[in-house]
Amino acid sequence: MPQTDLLHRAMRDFDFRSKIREDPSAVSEEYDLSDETVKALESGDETRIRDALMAKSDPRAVPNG
Amino acid sequence: MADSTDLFVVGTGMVGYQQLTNECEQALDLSEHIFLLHPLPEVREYFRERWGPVDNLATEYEQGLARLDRYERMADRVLNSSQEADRPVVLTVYGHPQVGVTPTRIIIDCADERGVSVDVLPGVSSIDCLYTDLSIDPFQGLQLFEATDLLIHEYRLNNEVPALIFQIGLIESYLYDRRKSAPERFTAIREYLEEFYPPSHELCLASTATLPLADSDLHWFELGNFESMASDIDFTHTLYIPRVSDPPIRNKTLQQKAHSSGHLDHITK
Repeated sequence: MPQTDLLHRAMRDFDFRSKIREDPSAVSEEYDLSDETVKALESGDETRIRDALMAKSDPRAVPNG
Repeated sequence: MADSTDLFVVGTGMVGYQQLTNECEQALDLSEHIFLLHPLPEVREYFRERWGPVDNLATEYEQGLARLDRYERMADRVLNSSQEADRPVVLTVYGHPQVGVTPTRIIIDCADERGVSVDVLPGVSSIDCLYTDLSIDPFQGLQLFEATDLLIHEYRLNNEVPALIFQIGLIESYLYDRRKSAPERFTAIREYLEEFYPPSHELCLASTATLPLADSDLHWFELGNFESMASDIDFTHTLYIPRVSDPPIRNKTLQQKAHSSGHLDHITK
C-alpha cells in the first residue's frame, strides 16, 4: 500500500494511530515501510516523518489558525 | 448553521483533516464550490476525493510580495465566487478560520457591501493545541500577541501572566518570504522582552504537530540567547513565555468571599 495511505488512515482511525505510535514496526509489512521510515515514526519528529512519508508540502502557505 | 448562507468559512483544525468538525463537514457537503488554503497535499487529495474539485488558494503566494495583497486577492476570489454561485461556497483554511487568518477578516469586513451572507464556523486552532502541548490553562491568565504587532504597538507585558507570541519566525516583516532568519531578526524582540523579563528567563519555541503521527516540537532556551536560536526558528513556531513567578494574592478579601455562601446569596437573585 502506498505510504500516504498510512497517513490517511492515521487521520481517520484513532486505534490505528495509537498502534503506530506504540510500535511503528507493527505495520511495516502492511505498508511496506523501510527501516528508515520506521525509525522516523519512532522518533515522532515531524520533519523526519514528513520527509519519509509525504509528498512535498506546498511551500507557499504560511501559518494561521 | 444559517439557512441563507452564501459563504461558509471553516477550519480543518491543525492536524491534517483529523480535527475537521462535523459542523464543518456539513458546510462542505452543502457547498457548490470549495476554496482551500492548506499546506498539506494529502488534505487537498482528501478533499478532492470526498467533495470533488477544490480551488487551491496557496497558488496566490509570491516571494517578496506583501502578504496582505495576496490575502486581499484570495478574499476577492472567494467573494466573487459566492456572488455568482447558486448554492453556498466554502473557504477552508487550516486551524481556526478566525485565529490569525487575514482573508477571513477581509471577507467579514467586505461581505455586507458585496451582499454576501457569511457564516464562520470554528475549528481547532493552534492555540487550542498549544494548551495541551504546553499544559497551560488560559483561565489562569494568558496574554496573546502577534510578534510584529507586539513590537509595533509596544504592548506592555505583564510578567506575572504567561504569554504566547505568534508568528515569531515572521517577526519584523509583512512580506512573504521563505528564507531562513538571520540572528539579527530577533535582537529587537529580545531587547523588548528584556524590559519585562530577566535574560536568564526560560522561554519555549513551540510548534504544534500538524501530522497525526508526529509529536509537537518544544525547544527551551534562555531569553538572553535568543539570537542563537535563529536557525531553529521557522514560520511554524510560537514563543511561549512562562510567568516569572507565581503572582501574589492582592485581594484576600475577595478570595475569602468567593468561598462564602453568604456572599453568593448577596450577589445572586
